[in-house]
Amino acid sequence: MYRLMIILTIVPLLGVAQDGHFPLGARNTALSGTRYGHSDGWTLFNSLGAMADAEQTMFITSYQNRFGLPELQTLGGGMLWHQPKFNTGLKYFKFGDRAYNQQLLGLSAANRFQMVGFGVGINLVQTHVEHWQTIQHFTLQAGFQAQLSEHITIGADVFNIGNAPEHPLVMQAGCSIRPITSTRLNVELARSIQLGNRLMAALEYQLIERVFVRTGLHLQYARHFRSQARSTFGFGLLPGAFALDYAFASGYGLGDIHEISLTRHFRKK
Amino acid sequence: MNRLLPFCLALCIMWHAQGQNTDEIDLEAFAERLFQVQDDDLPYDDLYESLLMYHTSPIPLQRTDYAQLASLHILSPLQLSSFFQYREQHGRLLSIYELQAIPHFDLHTIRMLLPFVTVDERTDSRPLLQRILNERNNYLFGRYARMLEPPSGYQRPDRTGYLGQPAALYHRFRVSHPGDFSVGFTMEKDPGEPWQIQPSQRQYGFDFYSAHFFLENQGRFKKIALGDFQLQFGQGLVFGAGFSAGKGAETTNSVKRNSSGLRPYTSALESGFFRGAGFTLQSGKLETTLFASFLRQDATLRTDSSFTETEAFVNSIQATGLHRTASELAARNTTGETLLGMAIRYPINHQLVIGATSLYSRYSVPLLRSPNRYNQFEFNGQVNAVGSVYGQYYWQNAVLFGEAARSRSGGLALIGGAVVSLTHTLDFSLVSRRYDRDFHSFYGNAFAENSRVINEHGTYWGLKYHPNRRHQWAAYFDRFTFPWLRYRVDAPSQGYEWLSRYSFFPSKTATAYLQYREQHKGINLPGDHLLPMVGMGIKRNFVINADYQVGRSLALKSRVQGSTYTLAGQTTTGMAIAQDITVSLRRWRFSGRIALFETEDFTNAQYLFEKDLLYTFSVPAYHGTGVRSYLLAQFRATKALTLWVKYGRFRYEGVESVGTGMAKTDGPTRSEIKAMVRYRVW
Repeated sequence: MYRLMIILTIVPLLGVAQDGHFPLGARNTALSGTRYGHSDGWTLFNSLGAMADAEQTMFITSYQNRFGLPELQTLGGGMLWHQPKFNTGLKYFKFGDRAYNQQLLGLSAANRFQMVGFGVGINLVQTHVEHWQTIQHFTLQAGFQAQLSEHITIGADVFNIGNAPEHPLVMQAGCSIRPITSTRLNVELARSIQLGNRLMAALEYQLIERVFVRTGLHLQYARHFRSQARSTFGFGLLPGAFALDYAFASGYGLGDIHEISLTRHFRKK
Repeated sequence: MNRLLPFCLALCIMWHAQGQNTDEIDLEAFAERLFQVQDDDLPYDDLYESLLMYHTSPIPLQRTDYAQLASLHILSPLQLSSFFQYREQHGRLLSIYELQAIPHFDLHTIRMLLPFVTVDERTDSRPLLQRILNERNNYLFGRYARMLEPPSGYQRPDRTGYLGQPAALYHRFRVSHPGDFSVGFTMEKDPGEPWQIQPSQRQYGFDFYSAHFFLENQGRFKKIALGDFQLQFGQGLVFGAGFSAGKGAETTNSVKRNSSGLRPYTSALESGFFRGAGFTLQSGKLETTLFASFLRQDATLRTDSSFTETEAFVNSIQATGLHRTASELAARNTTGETLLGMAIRYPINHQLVIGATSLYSRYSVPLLRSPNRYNQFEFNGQVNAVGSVYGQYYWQNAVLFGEAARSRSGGLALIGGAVVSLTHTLDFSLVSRRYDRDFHSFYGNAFAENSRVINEHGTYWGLKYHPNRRHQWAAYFDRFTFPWLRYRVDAPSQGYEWLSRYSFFPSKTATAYLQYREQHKGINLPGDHLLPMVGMGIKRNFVINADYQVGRSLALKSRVQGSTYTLAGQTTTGMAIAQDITVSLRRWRFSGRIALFETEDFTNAQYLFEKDLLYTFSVPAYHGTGVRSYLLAQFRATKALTLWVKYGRFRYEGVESVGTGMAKTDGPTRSEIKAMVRYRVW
């Protein structure tokens, strides 16, 4: 019971820490939640428009340690299946422990039409509070990404399309600038009815072949609280058919967040 | 031939830039680029003096290394590697103009670099005395300044006010040659300080004297310093003297400190330096710096039966250097500070430098602060020791740097970062720091939001984009938290700040920029609360500035700036408009300004750089409602003798007196006159 008390006390505090639409992936976290311009397996969670650009089948899995509290652990994974005509994906996400948890199961599909990628998905979200209730909702998500030039990509996503008040609508839009192959700069804005505007900016730099370093900043404007700034860092390694990403995020009132992700690619024969 | 052609081209292009004497370089413009303007908590004098020391001891380009050249904060990592690559391929630089031939060096960069570098390096085998007596770079300065309306502090007959004359006096002599020697002395008296001979207070005439005798490249001794000197090693956690701009409009190159090592001290600021002897010994690649210093500090001696009835202690060390009143004079030089320090620097190869520092300091009487919630982790006691290890690594177009320090209290300070030229037009910087609330470093000056290296965690990102020579955009974002309370902030607090500056260079003679800065920082809410409440103060500043030259003799500068401050739903504002004009006529040069300002409170005071006497720096706070005007005249009487006179005046609207306490003056105006003479002795 005491764990339930802790969770119920902390979860409202997490209001500003949660992004409201189940983002996942250490690359996404290290880039402070910015997501356009690249097409990795984590687009399954973060940007369905970018998912259309994936050119390999991938298995993904990620573990997030939030503030060192076992009650707030997050993990998830999925499969992105690349086919010549369109990409499809299946994903699973879990936050919390036995006393309080949220789980998500989702199906997505994405396709590219000329320079624009489109994607749609349907998610089943279950929220469980021990000794109280378990509720389930269906939500929809959709997104697009367009490559305007060799250097500039823009994108937008809508999450939680549906009527569930527990999962308010979230929108995100932004652009990614890639002046040279080794450098990517992202600037994105997210907005939900409950959380106010979030401004994110991030940089990814390819240090050497197969090694990336990342950093980002995240500015959460809040109507009734003080605005908060957070910083994120991370790196990515690409050994063979695998991609290993790590992210560290600081600036939350409760502590730091660490995330580690693994991707297995299946290259086209 | 392939080397001669760019050299000739460069010579032609830069003829214009060469027209000005490097002694008269516009340090104001340089400082304005580097320092974050419009802030009240920056030690501008200190920054400027450090900059000045670089200007008067230019870096010898023939021998300089990465660290030294990077310490100017002008060159990007890409330009730095280009320079050393060029020097390696082509050998010694024939002339300063050859800089134009180096890839990625543009005229704008070179112009900024010129006042601080030299290719003139002689190997002179004459005896030292002869070298000194034949050195042309020797100047004697005399400076006088006073306020024309006497403040009330001078009008008290009962010796409770200022005891000295209202004039400020400053004299300095220095003869120096880069890479060889520097000898000089400085003497100074602030306004209100008595010129007196009081052996009991160790005062002999002027209030402050400083002298140095500094030699370089004496066999195995790379540097030898006697008298007053400064040290800069690593990222400044332990030894942070020297030029360190930190957050400013130069968002990428200025975030990294550099190990410039032992340097002579020539400033008139009365704290933050060492007095004694030191040397840097080179054995193989290893450079070892050792020094001993004894400096008298200002502090009011107290006794208290709750501590001990007989032994004296002090509550705080006063760093203002002002000794105008009986109480300030009583605190003068009461506390001795003995310092012993060591620093080693070991360049493993061209790319990697590692080092370590340590500093032991002991006060002659204990420092026991008046207990307060916010200062309970500050230093208390008599003895402190602090040590650090540092390193920096130059890799392709990036430089990585870091330092870790620990003080005797157990407090840790960590800083690490990188400056990267992502492309040849885009530079990026990142600095992360973590200073414990009980880390004590008296001579540290590392990258921070606070003015000291204590009680702060933070991350800084900087970007600079310069697509061509006409446009430049720079921005930074800094996020910081203060894990413990601060003065006027009764809870752990946080904040962030960002700045964006777009600069436009339409021609060689015109520059304009647009700058916006926004800072969110925790501070106590005003009013009576049962428990102190910390709110978020939001300060927004903007600046629009244009500099343009008409012909060779007329230069104009127009500036509009303003700010707002919001706390607890209340917003106050301030703004200023200024027009400057500079006219050069043969041996004369006149500079003037008229500025109009209106600010609702001191938080919105407008800080504007002013042209001043040579080698002095002025960023007065314009606050209230009124007009600021000044006229500065410069006359080059002979090649050896130059004179300056400045008259400046504030006229405030709707007030009968200006200032408070002893600084209060009657009437709505406040004006000052300053004069200076510079004479080359031989």
